Amino acid sequence: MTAQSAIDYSTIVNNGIINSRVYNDERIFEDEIKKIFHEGWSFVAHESEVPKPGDYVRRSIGREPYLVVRNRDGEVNVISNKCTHRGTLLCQEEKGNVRGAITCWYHGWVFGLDGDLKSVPYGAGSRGLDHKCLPKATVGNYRGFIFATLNPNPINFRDYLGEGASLIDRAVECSPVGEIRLNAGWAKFLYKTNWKLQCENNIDGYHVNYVHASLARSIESRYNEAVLAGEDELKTTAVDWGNGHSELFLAAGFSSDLEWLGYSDKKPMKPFAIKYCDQLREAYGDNRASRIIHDGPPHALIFPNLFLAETNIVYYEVDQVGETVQRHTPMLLEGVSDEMNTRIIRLCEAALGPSSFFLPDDGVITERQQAAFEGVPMEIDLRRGMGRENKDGMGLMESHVTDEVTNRAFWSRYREVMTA
Amino acid sequence: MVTDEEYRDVCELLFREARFADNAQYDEWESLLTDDMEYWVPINRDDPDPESQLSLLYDNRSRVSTRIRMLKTGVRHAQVPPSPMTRLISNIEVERLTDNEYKVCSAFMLGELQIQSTKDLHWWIGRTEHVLRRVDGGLKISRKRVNLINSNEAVPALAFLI
Repeated sequence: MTAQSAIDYSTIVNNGIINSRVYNDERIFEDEIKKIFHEGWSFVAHESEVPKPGDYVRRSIGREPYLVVRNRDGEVNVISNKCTHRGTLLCQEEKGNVRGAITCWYHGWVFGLDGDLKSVPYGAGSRGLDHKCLPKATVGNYRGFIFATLNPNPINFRDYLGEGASLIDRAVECSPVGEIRLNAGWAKFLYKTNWKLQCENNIDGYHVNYVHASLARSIESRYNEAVLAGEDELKTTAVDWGNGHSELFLAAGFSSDLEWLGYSDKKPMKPFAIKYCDQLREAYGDNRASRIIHDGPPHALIFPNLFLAETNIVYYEVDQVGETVQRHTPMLLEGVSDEMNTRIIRLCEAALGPSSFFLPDDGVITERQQAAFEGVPMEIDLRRGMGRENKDGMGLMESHVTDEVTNRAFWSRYREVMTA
Repeated sequence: MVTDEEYRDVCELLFREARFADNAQYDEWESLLTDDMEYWVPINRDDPDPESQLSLLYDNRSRVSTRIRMLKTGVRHAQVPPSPMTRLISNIEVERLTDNEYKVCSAFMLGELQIQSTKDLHWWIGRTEHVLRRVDGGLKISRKRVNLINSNEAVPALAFLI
């Protein structure tokens, strides 16, 4: 084999069979950075993280350091965090406010909030030279969720989101005023795995009984349904929303209202929860409110890196082929009581992050996968449910919650992007 | 000010707690806690408010119990087998809060072998703030707050008792 022959992604990802090279091959990882993260759309931030002009957060597009910054006109830009002079990172803090302009502390070059080069010290020496402004990413904003790409002519943002937009709608409409805010801080969990193993795991409805056995044996919760029930009794479904977006529709298995907030027939709602339901009814009317109260926010992956994790927002930072940082924050709701949002924060700590009741176990199990792939490449079998998946009333592919229809949704989009 | 004897009692409790946690002696560790114990690992190092900010861990007593029950099932994969680990505790300062309560500040370095998957040796470093209460003549832990120096950076699984 020649050293740099192109990789044939149509054989690596083929009809539910995945070659394990995709998880540890450096060349494949480089291709992904370029084709998925540089040329395609990925999630970078939520508008609520930069409420005022000059506010910024540091984020990455692929491995490229960027700043998500609000300018004086209130628009949110995504601009490079590398000085165009000698590359020094402009903002070192994870978030902050740069006031009117961004100054490089190496030689004092000054950039505006739109990335324009404002001034350089001792300007006479720069006369006639075409010093560069900070590169700007192309930005798409859907209900405050900011996505970016380094591609100046990407596919249309709304075409990329496709039906995935309705998943974001369902998350946001859990607020009676239709707005969320991500300002409780992010936790960062380091996994020694490829990023795609985390995408797969988070939309895998098959592993609960085993990976999360210790929790199921320790508490009464909605996860007991999954653990105790036989295959035919599970009502929850796995849904392919197209474009690589997919969902585990957990609400189909909920037997009472606000189960997603930890309530049940055995655990009656506290006053703040009752008040929350009233606020939803007032805002949306009885029918729509009843659905929100019962269903709650989705458990869904927006390709490639945004995970709408019920009352949490999660995204992945890709840095190395075998290392991924999963960041998560509680999805706080506007227009509700402080108690309600504190409850959402407590749920976040219980479910996600390095010391939660769920994710450390997912982390260890997927790290054992990554370790196994060090050997001879093997074929990963994600065909479960191929014989019984079918189109639902909306034309979406749907199947039993334990079927790998969600994983196949991810991989089929991956294959499209990588072979394009 | 506390007496030498009080200071020694506090040190003994901290060292015992560290040994139980290092050795995965979960019941013994839990027996050191008051019924209203609060266990907290904030993310924000400067001015953390658990009511409005996310923590890595913010357990009331009932969540601590759940945590320990999970560890004891034998299928808490992130701690199967329990991480071999050793923590050093130092710089212990004791302040009297009330007749029967002390606030104790200390520093720690904890080496953990992540034996469950990566086999990495990881260092957890930080400061701990305990509130200890005298119950029936003996000291118990009513609050434990652990400030990791890297709480705001990406950290691996923290499923053991820190």
